[in-house]
Amino acid sequence: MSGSSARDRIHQAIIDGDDKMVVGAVEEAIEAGVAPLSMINEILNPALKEVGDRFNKGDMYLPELILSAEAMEVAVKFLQPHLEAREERIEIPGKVAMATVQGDIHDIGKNIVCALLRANGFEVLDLGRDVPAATIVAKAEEFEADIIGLSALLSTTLPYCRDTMELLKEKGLEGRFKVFIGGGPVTPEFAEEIGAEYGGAHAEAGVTRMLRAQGRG
Amino acid sequence: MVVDLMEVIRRTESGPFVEERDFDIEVIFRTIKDLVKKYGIEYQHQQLITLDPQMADAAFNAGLELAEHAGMYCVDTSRVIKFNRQELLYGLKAAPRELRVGFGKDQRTLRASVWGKLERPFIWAGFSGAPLSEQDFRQSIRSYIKEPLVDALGHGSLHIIDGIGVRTGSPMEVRATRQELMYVNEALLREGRPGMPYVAAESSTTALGDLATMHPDFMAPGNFHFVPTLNELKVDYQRLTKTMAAYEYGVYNINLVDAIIGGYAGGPEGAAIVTIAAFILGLIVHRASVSLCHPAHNKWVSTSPPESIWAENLVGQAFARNSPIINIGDVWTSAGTGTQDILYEIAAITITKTLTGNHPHGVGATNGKFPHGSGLDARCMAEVAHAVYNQQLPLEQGNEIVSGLVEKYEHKFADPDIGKPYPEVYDVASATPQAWWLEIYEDFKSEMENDFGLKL
Repeated sequence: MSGSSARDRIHQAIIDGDDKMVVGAVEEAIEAGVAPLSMINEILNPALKEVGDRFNKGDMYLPELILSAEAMEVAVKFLQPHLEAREERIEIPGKVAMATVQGDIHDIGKNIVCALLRANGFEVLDLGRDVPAATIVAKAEEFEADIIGLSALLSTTLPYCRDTMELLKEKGLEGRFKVFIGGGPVTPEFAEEIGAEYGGAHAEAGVTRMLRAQGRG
Repeated sequence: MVVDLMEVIRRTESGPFVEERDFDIEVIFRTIKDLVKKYGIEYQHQQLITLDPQMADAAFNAGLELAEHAGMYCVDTSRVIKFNRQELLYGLKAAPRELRVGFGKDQRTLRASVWGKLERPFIWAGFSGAPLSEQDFRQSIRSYIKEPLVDALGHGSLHIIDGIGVRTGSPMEVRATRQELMYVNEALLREGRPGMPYVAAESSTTALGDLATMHPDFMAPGNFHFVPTLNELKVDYQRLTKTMAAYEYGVYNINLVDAIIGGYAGGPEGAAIVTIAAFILGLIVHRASVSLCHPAHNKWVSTSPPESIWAENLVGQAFARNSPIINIGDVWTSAGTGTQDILYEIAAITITKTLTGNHPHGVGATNGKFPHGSGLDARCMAEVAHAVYNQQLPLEQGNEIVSGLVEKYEHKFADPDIGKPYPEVYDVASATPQAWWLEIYEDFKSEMENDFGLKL
């Protein structure tokens, strides 16, 4: 198998979200002598980025984004021992702990943000939905997150975003994390009022702002 | 064949166990992808109102197949509430085709639409979806009730009471929902329309507020409340509690379905199919008397983007042709009150709904994000719907008008004109529109007649 056909197969496997195909193609590429880090930087990441871009244009949908991110995770897991053997590390824009706040069970927006963050190279801890402020703060510390992302779809769950900011202050963790909030009822004014960053009107805008906050883009 | 509510509850415990991720991806996404291909359903930007009846029939069959294959997922038990084809068909057969609602001179009839026969539109108005302060709520609600073409009320929620924010799951949901109903009843009496039916208890996301208001002093039996289907084809115990409380008390359940375009169902084709499936399942799971359609674009939320308009058109026609049930549809705009753009958005959505079998419900100005809504928004919705009915507008002409209107605003979603708050567009004391806002509306009416041939 030539290096270029392995490249095409890996790229296609990520686009298709095919975790079985991606492992086979990555394994063959390793055997063909392709360096693991360059495989990640030059093939896997651009392919996943392409999926994210196509989602933003409306040409792909959330499940495809999730499947591609899952295929990427499988590929990176497979490559990890090879990276360690060469003492190489993957460079990422940052680590994000994402949660839909307490009382809110609407998690599609958060799921889209998580998938787009992964497509842009972030390491993401998805804390799920209906997550209390104390859990968010504890998990973000444990994960050593750079960013906390809070999602709220209901005006009646906005107070729980405020709780998270208050708790960070009380624990002396103000400034330790950049905190972004987003979702239907969130306005720039509310974000400013509680001392958080406004994530923007939709998921794509939020990820762009987080990239910028990490000095990318 | 008959599945009662207790049997639904039983199946939340006995249905097949499925991981939620697998339900989202393997069941919903993959099945819908196959169904879109199998039935040849395709979004058409140039035909936002579908002119090919076979497409609507295909969508109905795809939705029915999805409902049978997927069932409804219970988040709390991770089990799927499944129904066989006969049970689903019986649910459709047993669904009401007509409801006599309200009382006295305000009594109205809400009918299911049958394809090929334009019904008088049922106008369900208010600042739907908007979280309001007590003052904004009390002031603005009058402006909707005053509109003579409005048949029923649905006026958003209270987000703050006595300076305390209403948090989901807190006791404030009880307080806010009771207060909301007090203001609804007060406003209906004040404006001389005491028998006007309404949908309410919107100030509570959990079942708390619904339970707290199911008493004749607050919400009288015979009115309506929402029970949302979670995305996509999911339910939980909170939603089932709402269903049971209202069903046993005598309030009508409205199955609120907000399929996400770009979400687990895929594109507009998938959003239409999953909405049809959710409506069919909701007749049994939510004991729904009315089904509400709101295909939401994953970026823009409102129902005015072309993909959303097309999806709702297909859902409406699918039921009107194959198994009429009572459908209503959200008129949610990105623009706010006091602007020309909100009128274009309202008109495009309303024409589509009226022609395709969904009675209009709105207006959710600025997607309910800002308190920028007013009764004149509802007047526009009502007059457009009635003009479509009075002229017996053909589908082809409706499609041309809707396409022309969409062109006027579809490039503005990223930065919509959010307009102004209610007290700036209305005289609060008399609950009448300011002259400048009325003038914008009169210009719009002239434009609709001169450029599009629709006389409001």
